[in-house]
Amino acid sequence: MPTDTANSTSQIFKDCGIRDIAKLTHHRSAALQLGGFKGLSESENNALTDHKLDKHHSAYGPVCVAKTCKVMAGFDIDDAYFVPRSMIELPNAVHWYVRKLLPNYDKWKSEAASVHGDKSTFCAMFLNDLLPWLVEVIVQDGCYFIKDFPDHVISKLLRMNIPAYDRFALQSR
Amino acid sequence: MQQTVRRVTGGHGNPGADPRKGLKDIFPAKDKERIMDHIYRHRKDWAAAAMNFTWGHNGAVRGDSNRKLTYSDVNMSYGFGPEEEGPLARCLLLVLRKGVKNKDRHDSDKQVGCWRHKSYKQCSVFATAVTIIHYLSTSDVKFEHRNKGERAPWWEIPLIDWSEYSGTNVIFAILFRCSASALTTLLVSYFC
Repeated sequence: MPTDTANSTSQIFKDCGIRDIAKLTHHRSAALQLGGFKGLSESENNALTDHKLDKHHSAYGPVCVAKTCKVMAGFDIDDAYFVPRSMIELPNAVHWYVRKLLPNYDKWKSEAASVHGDKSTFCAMFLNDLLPWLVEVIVQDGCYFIKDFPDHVISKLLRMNIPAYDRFALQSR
Repeated sequence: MQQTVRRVTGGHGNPGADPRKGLKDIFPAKDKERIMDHIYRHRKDWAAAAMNFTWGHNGAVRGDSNRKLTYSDVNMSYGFGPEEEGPLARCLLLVLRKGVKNKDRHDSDKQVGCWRHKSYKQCSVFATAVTIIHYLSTSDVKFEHRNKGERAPWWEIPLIDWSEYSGTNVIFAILFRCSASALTTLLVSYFC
């Protein structure tokens, strides 16, 4: 990508609040990732670039394929993907649960923003996106986990740190 | 003689081995549930075992690669999820680094992604969540990067604590490997 285009793209991404450096690479790669993810075959995807197929194999194969992800999540190819646990609505905002389960969360964010902090896009993703999602998953799946494994350290963590978690879990199951 | 036996009976070279040895099969779902149930109910190394088992079965990640993963190899996408928008747009990914670090020896970094499994016990996302949240809630992690010329220390935290998973002490394992290697060298030099 010519420097001007790269600079322009970087500026546009920055202005739109998109921090993830991975998205700052070629737009073409993103298009091919989408095509492959949705199930376009290599030759179908290759119609977009007209590259030799070996280039496709080495550089443009999709990271994930939706059909593969669905099957590996326990569904048949023709099934609709539906995981009822992921629909459990949390009574409080996700960050409320994050602070309950990870009391140092705000300290970590301050640490990352400090002079010696980790200012990588990876750290930002980890603290701002991944951790809240993982906490959401634990709180949702935990509704079943505490019933099946009441003595597990994770069940104790959920019960001790989240007020009335047993009642919430019982109502959500 | 052994080659004759192999030609007649097929299979591998050990005629006394179980005739089903080496044959491939699919794990029945109920067995996976039973194993995960056992891991969460009885294993002290539940976090490492759950990560290893679920990512192996759902992402086909080699055990060798699994055990070399660190925190910097965890990634999340808002594009590869089951839906295009909203909470279900998220997908958890593991990064398999290029080079000799992984047995497959990719020439570029690769990723493997998983959606939430229909059974929470078999779910790689849940296993990853409990592993990371449990670790962070019991450890003193610092999100610092003082020396920009080196990798930040917290990036190197093992995702799977191999010493815990294998039930061996790391120092013992290293000593064992060193002594095994020294013994091999000794035997080679003695016989050759």
